[in-house]
Amino acid sequence: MSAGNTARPLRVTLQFVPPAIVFVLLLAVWELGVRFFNIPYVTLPAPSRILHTIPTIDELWSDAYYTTVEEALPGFLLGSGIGFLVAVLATRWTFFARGILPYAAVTNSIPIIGMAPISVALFGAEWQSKAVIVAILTFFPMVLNAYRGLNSVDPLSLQLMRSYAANGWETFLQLRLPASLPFVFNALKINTTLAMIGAIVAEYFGGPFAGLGYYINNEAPELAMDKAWSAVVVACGIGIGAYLIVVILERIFTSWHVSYRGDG
Amino acid sequence: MSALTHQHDAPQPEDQSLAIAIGIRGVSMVYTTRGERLNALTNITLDIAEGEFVSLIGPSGCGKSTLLRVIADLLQPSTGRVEVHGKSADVARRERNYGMVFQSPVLYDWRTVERNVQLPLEIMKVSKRERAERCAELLELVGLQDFAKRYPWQLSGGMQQRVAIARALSFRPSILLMDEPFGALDEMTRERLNLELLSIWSRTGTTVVFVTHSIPEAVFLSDRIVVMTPRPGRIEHIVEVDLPRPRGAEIREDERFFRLIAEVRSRLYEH
Repeated sequence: MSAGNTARPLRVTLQFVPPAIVFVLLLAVWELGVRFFNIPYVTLPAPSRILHTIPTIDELWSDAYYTTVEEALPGFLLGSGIGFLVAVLATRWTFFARGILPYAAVTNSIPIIGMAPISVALFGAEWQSKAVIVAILTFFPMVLNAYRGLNSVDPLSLQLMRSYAANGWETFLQLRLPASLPFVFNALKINTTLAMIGAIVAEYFGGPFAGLGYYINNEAPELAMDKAWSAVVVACGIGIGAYLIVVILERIFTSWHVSYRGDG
Repeated sequence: MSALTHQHDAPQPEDQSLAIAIGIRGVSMVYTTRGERLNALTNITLDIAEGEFVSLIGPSGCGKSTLLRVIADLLQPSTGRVEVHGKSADVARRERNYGMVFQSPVLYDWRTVERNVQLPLEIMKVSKRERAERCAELLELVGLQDFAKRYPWQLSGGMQQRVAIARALSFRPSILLMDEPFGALDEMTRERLNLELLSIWSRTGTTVVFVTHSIPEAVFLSDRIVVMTPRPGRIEHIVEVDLPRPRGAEIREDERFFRLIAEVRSRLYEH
């Protein structure tokens, strides 16, 4: 283990090197391409121009806050939470699983762009209609993954629980729940990205005069592409940040899992 | 009932002075899969005395694991019943009489070794202090006191199986049910664990029902060996093992050991 401990930071650092190189190369090609071909910023602004524009937009931060905290986060928690609950109920009662799981799959086939204006009509122009869209988007990945995770337990583990005369609650708490965590975190990772996309796209279809989606939707038709791109970059940054938070939580709660084991 | 002429001092259920731990009464098990009836067990009757070490041996499909699961109340027999200390198998399970060990250790990856051993105790609402005490005691019994804080996947297969045995014994069940517990281990580890199991058994006084397909293992460990045959699964013969106890590794060189192996083998192939 001691050898593994000293090698670990190096290995983690090395993990980030290839994507970092690709990222820098991509930016370089973009920057040089825009300059070399004299592409006007209303078509495609250079990365350097976007970088300089971001601090000049005062409303960007309040828009980002609105989209993330008022819309994406509640929707993410609602969709993931209900998704997990449905998976638990479906695991507990086969009848419920047969009845509800096909409909859970239906939510996945709802065209979200078509649903956005309907959601505004149903839940109003404020954050609620956006959060609902996000909730619908994030519900299915959680149901699917959590249900698989809760049912990924070894039959012998269940027989063991039965031999201890453990009740259903204890079997759930001590066996099914921990076994499901790697799957649940997978869903949460997918859902961070989906939540940002859902909230931004939902803002295109009427709503409050705030939010990153609203901002992009306003600036792009004005050909203020450096501003539109700035909002996109900020949205990306928030998405990556949220993803990293989930990854850190995942490492804390599932450090025992195969994917995180050292050389042990 | 046996053609054996050996003297033996192994506990005998016929002996009225010995209490019966497990009474299997006319147990049959019929599975129906795709319209086909399969007789897994046919009219099994067997008494196992308290503190006795009994092995079930036979080829795959003879129903030995099924019988073990019927005793454990993990499966319900089609006909017949199992009595444990005069109670039904269901009541015996609810009163936590069974310690189970399977072929795979079935340890929980998210729990350290000591927390795996304590799992049944947590479920049984044993106080934290007593849990820690018993866990330390058991880890010492299986020689893993230095590995308490490790995770199962950091241990070898043999060590994992020792954790599984410690876990099964943690709540002091009166009966230990073992389903080919050393079947996946290499021969050297298996022989060492056989010795350890005997020493644990002699110290705890637990009744053991041990499923195996290894003849030497059954002879080395058991008071009696129940030889089973498939299609339909039934008891072909019961071999009394009259080897003296305590048994050490040297008994594997004993002429009586070889004779018993030959006896079990002939009973297995006779069918």
